[in-house]
Amino acid sequence: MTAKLADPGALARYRDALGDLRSPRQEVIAVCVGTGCRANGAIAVYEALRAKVEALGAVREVEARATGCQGFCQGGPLLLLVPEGIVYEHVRIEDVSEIVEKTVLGGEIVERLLCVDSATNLQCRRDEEIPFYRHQQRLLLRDNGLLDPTSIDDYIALGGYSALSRALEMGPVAVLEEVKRSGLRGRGGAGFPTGRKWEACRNASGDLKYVVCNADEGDPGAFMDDALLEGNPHSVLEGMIIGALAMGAREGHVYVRQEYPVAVERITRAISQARELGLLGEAILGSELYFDVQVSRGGGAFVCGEASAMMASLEGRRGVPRRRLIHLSERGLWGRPTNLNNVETWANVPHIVLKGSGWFSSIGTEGSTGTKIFSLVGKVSNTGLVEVPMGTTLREIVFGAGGGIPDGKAFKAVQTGGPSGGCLPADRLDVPVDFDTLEAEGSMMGSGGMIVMDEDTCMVDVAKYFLRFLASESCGNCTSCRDGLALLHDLLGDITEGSGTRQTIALVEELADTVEATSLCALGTSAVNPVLSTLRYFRDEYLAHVDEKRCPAGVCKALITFSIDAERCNGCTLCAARCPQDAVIGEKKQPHTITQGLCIKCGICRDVCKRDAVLVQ
Amino acid sequence: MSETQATDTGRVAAVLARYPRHDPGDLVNILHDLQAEFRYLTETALQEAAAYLGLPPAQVYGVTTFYHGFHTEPRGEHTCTVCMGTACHVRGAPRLLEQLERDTGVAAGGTTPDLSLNVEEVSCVGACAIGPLVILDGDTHGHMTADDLSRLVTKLLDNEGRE
Amino acid sequence: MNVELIVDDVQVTAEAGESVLDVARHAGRDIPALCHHEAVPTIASCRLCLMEVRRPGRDWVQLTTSCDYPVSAGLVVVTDSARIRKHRAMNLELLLRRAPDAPVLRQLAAQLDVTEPRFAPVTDAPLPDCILCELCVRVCSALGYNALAAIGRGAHKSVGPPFGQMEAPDCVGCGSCYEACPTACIPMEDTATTRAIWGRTFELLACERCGRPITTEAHAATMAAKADLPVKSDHLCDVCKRRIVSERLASPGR
Ligand SMILES: Cc1cc2nc3c(=O)[nH]c(=O)nc-3n(C[C@H](O)[C@H](O)[C@H](O)COP(=O)(O)O)c2cc1C
Ligand code: SF4
Ligand code: SF4
Ligand code: SF4
Ligand code: SF4
Ligand code: SF4
Ligand code: FES
Ligand code: FES
Ligand code: FES
Repeated sequence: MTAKLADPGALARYRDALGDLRSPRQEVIAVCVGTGCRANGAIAVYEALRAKVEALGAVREVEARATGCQGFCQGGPLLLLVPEGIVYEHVRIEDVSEIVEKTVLGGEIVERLLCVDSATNLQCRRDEEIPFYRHQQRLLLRDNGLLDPTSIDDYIALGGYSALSRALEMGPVAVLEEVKRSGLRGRGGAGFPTGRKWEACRNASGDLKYVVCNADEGDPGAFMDDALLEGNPHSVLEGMIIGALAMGAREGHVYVRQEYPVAVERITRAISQARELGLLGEAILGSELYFDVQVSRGGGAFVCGEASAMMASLEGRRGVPRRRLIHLSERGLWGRPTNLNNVETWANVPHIVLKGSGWFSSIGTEGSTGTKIFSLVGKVSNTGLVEVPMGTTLREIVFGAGGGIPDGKAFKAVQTGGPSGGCLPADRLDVPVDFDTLEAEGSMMGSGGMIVMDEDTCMVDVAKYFLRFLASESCGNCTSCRDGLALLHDLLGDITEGSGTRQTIALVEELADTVEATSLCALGTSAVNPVLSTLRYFRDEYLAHVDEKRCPAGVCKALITFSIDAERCNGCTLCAARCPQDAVIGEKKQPHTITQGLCIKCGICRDVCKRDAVLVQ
Repeated sequence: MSETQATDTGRVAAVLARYPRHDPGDLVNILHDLQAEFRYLTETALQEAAAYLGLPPAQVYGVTTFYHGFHTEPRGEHTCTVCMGTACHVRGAPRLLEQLERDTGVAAGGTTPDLSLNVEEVSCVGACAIGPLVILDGDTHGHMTADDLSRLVTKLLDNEGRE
Repeated sequence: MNVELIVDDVQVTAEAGESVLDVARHAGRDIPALCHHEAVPTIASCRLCLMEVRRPGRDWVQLTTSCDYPVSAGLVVVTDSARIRKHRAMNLELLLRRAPDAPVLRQLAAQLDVTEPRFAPVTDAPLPDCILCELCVRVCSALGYNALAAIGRGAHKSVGPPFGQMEAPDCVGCGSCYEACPTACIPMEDTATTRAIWGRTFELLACERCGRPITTEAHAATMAAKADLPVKSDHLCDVCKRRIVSERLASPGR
């Protein structure tokens, strides 16, 4: 067991000692084993690489390191060679020997594995040449590619916990002032000024105060917080310790979504490592600060991301929101002063303390400082995590970093703000992304989900999708939200099934109005945003469904038919063999046809056809 | 008390002992651990958790059923989960779920009558880049099509049958 | 501490911490508030007790439920307006899907001109006519019996005995949930000697004097235990208790 670090000096010496062990010339091959890459087989790649590298033994000192998400999930499994900064994408086990032999031993690049800039068709050797990274400012995510998230030493070697040393030196009041001046606003959705929240909690009376990290990340299509917690858990923890210092909190909780088992494991491990080094517990770094943290898992309820519901859940009750008569900062968990911040908010704190509020507020816009991580997903060429300064336009994110829409399709909309956000159309692409502008445009920042939709996405279907999600996530307390959302979902169902009329649309609007106006928590009041924003920007599409019984995007099953283009079909029989309904008929090498009465529109024929001969109308 | 009941009680007690503070705030963590132990939450286990934490059994049951992650009915051997997160949705996840429901005759959230397979949906597991995706017994399969999924599940269930 | 506020243009005094609902009711307003009960914690579930409030110094009017909105000095409250009626009517329509025949809802429907149902009724609820206000659960738990649970969530929420059972093992048959239920949807059946509720049948205890049933034996036993009395204390119904007191007061020997 390691000895506890007695004071900030001991931490600095500990770091220096690590530095001696790791020469700056140390070569590292960082294999991303974040959620996306892991699902792509990255663990096997990592293990093969480690075996290979270890076999080199004394020949060459190279370390294979498994890291958290490096952001460019699209390219996964992803490899980053440090210090050169070479990035290899779509690496397979078969490539490992070649990488070691050519690149590690021979200093030669395996061109086949380089990423290609689709705009210039040039190969990108280094990370900063890759368009995906070039458009970013990776303040929080950069270290994800450099450190092994299971090692506190990696974090410390990169300067980790020096912000805590600095904060202890500054003292609580100065830290609070710095955070206030930085203009940092909460990254969990509402964008509330963090410093003000901290101040209220600091000023609240009570011996026992809590700080809580909201890692419930309920937005179904976003994984920023997962990536931070898995890829750099100590940065979040350090932020919490600094917050505890500033607010005088003694206990912390990290409330993690149950669907993130690896994040749970990483943060749990980070906590025990920090305890061992005396960075948590009694007398942190020899100071008077006492603070300890525990991990609580969610149970699978989006609403528990809401502050009052989370407190109920943490107290062993049903996660039902309540109107907060008294602010959380005065009466939160177990009735004591509590401060809740999002994962990404906490991760910003060490940077602010270390580099100063002036530096921080110089990034981004005046009202929204710093960077924001977006989870850029859906119909976009480069799916992954994008960290950009606040105020970057949607266009830069979607078409710059994101590389635009794949398969030559047209951009249709981008949904920001998660399930309760809104869909913005093409003519809003030049909108700068910050808290206030997005809201003015009828959407919101939310926690950073950004879902790109192309011409094949039906906006009515998308609105129905979000309602389905939110109706099933409603806690069931309020009449308006519990039953209103379920009914709204049914009404949109009528529209997508062709039985809707203009009256249905009017009823949707009327009901949505009441759900918005009379529900207790923000789940209910903002649940209608996807419907209202699609009605605002894509009303034509709704009208096509009700007036012409037509789904322009070809998505709504009841309104489409599958057929085979006789010109294109070469009678390969593939679709006939796979059709679950035996609805495709035709002779070998002859154009096939679909028997409409049998077809259930499952779309398999279209998936399997290699000649794009199956048409949807 | 039957033998299995006795060992079950012992297993419940072992889980509870991980939470020595008897703190009601540990309820959800305890439910997770109990479910990991028994695959689903039996009435006995919940009653004992309630007694251990000093909570009314009705509250423990209310909490258990509030979360979609907990099951109070026996669960199947295997689990096939379709991601229905937004990113996967726009890439066609609903068609995957429909296919799975057709193949197994079980709606999402259910278990086949022979307790071989649970059909589940989840909202985003953080691997949106390779969506739409399906998780079969912990293994993630990306870029899924309805056809691939059909084969995957049929293969799994066929192997079961042969054993 | 008292605060002054305005309810429908009239200045009223209220105690700090009181809900706007209570204050408006004291001022004689008739506000539908189906999920509210003074004796138990408020959950603001029915969303009918809507009012419009404006805080001093703010220039916007907020539509809010009043049962969970505390009074404050200078608050301006409006208890009736087109906006209030519109949203109240819509929420009522939603509740009517669950309890189409409940007298309390029918009466409100008449008041708010809610006539033709526009939405399909809920037909698969485990407890017909239940509007999920959880008053039964809250009352039972406030009494310390905790026999009932709120189960599941969203539109599939229900109330009833835990563990999917028909019977509530912790129920003592006190009937308080039945009394509290706004839609009278909890089946309770009393005979001369028994009471059936939540899947259980209890023996009723008769008044020693008049023979009328007082409550269940199980309930009397728990009450006695709580008050630390021998179970067999005097079993008298409220009416007889009062009579005895007045008889004593009136007796000349006193
Ligand atoms: C229904 C609902 C779900 C929410 N989910 C999350 C979440 O998953 N993560 C999060 O950080 N905040 C979530 N929030 C916002 C939190 O309530 C809270 O505002 C936030 O955690 C505060 O942290 P911040 O100030 O750092 O943003 C949610 C809010 C609502 C109403
Ligand atoms: S608005 Fe919906 S989620 Fe929020 S408390 Fe009401 S029912 Fe629950
Ligand atoms: S859509 Fe499905 S059912 Fe219809 S023809 Fe194609 S494969 Fe067969
Ligand atoms: S798969 Fe395509 S090419 Fe082959 S038979 Fe079907 S439609 Fe024709
Ligand atoms: S009758 Fe039973 S369930 Fe109802 S309040 Fe009394 S003890 Fe509770
Ligand atoms: S049974 Fe009655 S009191 Fe209980 S939730 Fe239903 S309506 Fe409310
Ligand atoms: S998971 Fe590997 S880059 Fe995101
Ligand atoms: S939406 Fe399916 S993994 Fe994110
Ligand atoms: S009485 Fe206020 S919401 Fe029901």
